[in-house]
Amino acid sequence: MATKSDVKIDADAISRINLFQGLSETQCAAIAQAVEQTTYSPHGIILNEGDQGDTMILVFQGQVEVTKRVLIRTSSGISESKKAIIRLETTNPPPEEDPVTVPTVHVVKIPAFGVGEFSLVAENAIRTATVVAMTPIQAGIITIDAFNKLAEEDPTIAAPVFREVAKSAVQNLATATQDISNLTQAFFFALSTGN
Amino acid sequence: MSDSANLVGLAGENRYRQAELANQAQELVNKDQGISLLERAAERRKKDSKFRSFWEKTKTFWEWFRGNELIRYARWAIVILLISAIAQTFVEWDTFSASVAGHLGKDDATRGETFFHAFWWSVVTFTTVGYGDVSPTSPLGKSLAMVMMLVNLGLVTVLSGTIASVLVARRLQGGTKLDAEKYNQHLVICGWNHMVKEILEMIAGAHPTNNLIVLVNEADEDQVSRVAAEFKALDVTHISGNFTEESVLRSAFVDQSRMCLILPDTSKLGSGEAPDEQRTILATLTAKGISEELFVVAHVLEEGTVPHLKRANANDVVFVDPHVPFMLANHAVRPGVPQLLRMLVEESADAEHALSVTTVPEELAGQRHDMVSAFYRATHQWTVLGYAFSQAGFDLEKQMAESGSPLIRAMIKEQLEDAGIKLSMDEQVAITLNPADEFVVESGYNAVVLT
Repeated sequence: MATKSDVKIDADAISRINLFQGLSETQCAAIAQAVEQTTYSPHGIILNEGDQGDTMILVFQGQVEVTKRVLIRTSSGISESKKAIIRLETTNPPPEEDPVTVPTVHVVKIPAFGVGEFSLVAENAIRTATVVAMTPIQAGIITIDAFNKLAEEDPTIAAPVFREVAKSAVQNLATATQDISNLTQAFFFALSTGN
Repeated sequence: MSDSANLVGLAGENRYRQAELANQAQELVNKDQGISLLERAAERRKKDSKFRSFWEKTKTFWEWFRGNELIRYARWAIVILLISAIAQTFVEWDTFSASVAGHLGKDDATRGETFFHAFWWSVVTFTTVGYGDVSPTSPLGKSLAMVMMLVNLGLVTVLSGTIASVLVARRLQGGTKLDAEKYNQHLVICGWNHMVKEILEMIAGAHPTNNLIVLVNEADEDQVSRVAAEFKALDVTHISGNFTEESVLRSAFVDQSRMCLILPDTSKLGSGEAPDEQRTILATLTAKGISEELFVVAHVLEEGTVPHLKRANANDVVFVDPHVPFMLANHAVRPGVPQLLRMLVEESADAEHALSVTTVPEELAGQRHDMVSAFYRATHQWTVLGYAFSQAGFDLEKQMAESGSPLIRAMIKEQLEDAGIKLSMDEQVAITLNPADEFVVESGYNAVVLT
């Protein structure tokens, strides 16, 4: 479904994605070959939390919202609720339209970005969050198989990408550790003052 | 003054607090006197007329007579007996008069004799005794007898069932059923402990106009009646039962009572066990549930129960602090300790020794306890008993700061606040008594000294 503003997926577009910044132009071109172009309309679900996936989505243009499911206590009992964590927006090129809902969370602007990157290192990785399109999205999909094939042909592709994935994994782990620490504190706090 | 000095101060008030509960009861007794004097005068005027009093008694009896289930069925039985006796007298005149004449050895029986014989037959048949000395012979008489027998079959079943249920109900009520007429504006004391005797003693001493008292507890009947027997001036009744149950409280007519005292109950406990404060709360809720106007005074041993009772709408809560047993026990096992405490508590301006708190000089911060102690000994002749220091409060929000994901932090904050849990704990004063020599005295510590 090509429109006049379709982003052309070439080496240049790939090099703008945060994960692929350390790669050469030829390597980017090779990846561009393996990417399948796709689009999402506003409200379209790009990734669904809890699903298993073996693809990574490259967002070239548009804004997405990342949400997580949490259990909260309400007046009527425990219920599940979706909490927005962050919004990501491309700057090169910027989104064609304004987002469909006004952001309630911080909007991070980067040239272009990938979501579901853990799928590149783990088979059938669980999606850790839901990603929803807020504007029309120009994107590409790369499967773990396609990426592995590229890495076999040119092993130097894998190292910079894996380093980026590892960095984000380590960061996530650090945050999760802190979260557990905070929750443990809150738990004991509630127990000690609750009576 | 530090906390420790306050606590010791509390110990001094014990002997006054001990009497507080009984005093409260007494006060209420007196408060009501004004009203009850008027009521009593009115009552006396009413009773002046003997006829009226007789009429009222008859009326009461009639109401009871009409209301009682057992009597209602018995009335029906008698009606049926009479009808059947009268009917048989007419229908089977020949049979019955001949039979009764034969029994009496006469030629002829009178009408009365024949009727009595028919009544006799009816009762013998009704009760299923069936002597068979006489029985209807004509088809009409037999038919009537059959109808009566069948009706009786149902009535006898209901009657015996009612007798059984009345007996069971009486058993369930524990045998004690108070007279609702008599119990009005009385005092209900729920729970049993050693203080009941003292309370009764004080009430008896106040010579109240209304001396009706109902004790509700599960204590041994003998034990209770022994205590109750000591107070001739009081009309004490014991209801054995669990005072947290509505039916038990109702049987003590709490709804008509002047006041309900709820005490820590030791009636079913061993010597070392503490009374269950939950029962006090439960009883308060139950009593207030029966009648919102009921004046409930609860006595608790633990301070933590006080807010619960306030919430349960208790009109007054008496909290006797736990220093009473401490003081009493120590008189026996550690003579000198209570005397010493009293000396410290009853400090006068010119007292030679007293408890005091003083800030440790900044120069001594970081030094060991033995040194600080020696300093005060040398400079003031004071003995350092321990240290008081404020413990920093804890602030969860500050603690979490910017760590972890904002989502989780926001959720923790929101959920705790919704649950009414404050995110910070206030500063608290901690006390270290008689620390080891190596204990390091830090800056800002206060020394608790005996001057």
